[in-house]
Amino acid sequence: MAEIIVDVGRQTDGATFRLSPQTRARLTAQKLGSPLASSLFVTFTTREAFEDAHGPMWTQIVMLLTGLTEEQINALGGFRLVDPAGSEVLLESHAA
Amino acid sequence: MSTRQNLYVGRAGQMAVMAEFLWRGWNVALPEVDVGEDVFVVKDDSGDLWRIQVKTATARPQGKGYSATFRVALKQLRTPRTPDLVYVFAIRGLSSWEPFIIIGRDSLLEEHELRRVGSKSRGSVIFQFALSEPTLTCSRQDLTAYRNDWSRWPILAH
Repeated sequence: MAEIIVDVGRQTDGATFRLSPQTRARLTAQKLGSPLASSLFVTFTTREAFEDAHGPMWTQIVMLLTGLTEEQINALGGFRLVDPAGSEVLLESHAA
Repeated sequence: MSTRQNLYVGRAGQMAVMAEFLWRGWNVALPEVDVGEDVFVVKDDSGDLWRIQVKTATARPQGKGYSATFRVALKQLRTPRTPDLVYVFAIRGLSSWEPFIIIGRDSLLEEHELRRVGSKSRGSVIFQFALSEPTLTCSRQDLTAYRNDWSRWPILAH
């Protein structure tokens, strides 16, 4: 099971990303990372522009929210993007 | 309390919260279509916007203080938005409004999920706040920091 849970709120023109309370508490307790943002809003057009050039941006979003490197995220078991209202898993990224 | 009485109490709480924002120098607006009791708070010169969800209840005497019970939809509580929601719980005492309880959605979710504040009930979370000067508690957790916490909106001079 992925260790980092990101809550996603889908809106008309994009989505808001935020670490789940449990993930935030666990990273804080373990003194892991130093978040650069408590939440992120990414518009669909921004995401498309980024992904046209660089590929999927999910890992970058998790890096910004946690302050962890990609290697550290993988070491924790990867991440899951979740719609918290219905607990629907939108994307799951396990460590290779 | 009848449904009609609930409407009057809810609207009174909304107006009381809006009055406090205006007194502090922050502009307010109501959405034309009623999808809850949202109030928009706007900083005139920058356009910064906050979404406020007002919840209103009548105080019930309890010991040396009083309690008030609120229901918050779990879906709304769990879903992050931009701009994110801030809850203002308005409690009407016998002769005046009691201190407002002001707490961001993310903080209320943390209190609920990490400190077991409130109890789940049919797609909602029930919060029973207990207030006695100068404290605020819910589910035996100290929430005094949220009592009249207007720090997001300092008084503006125009």
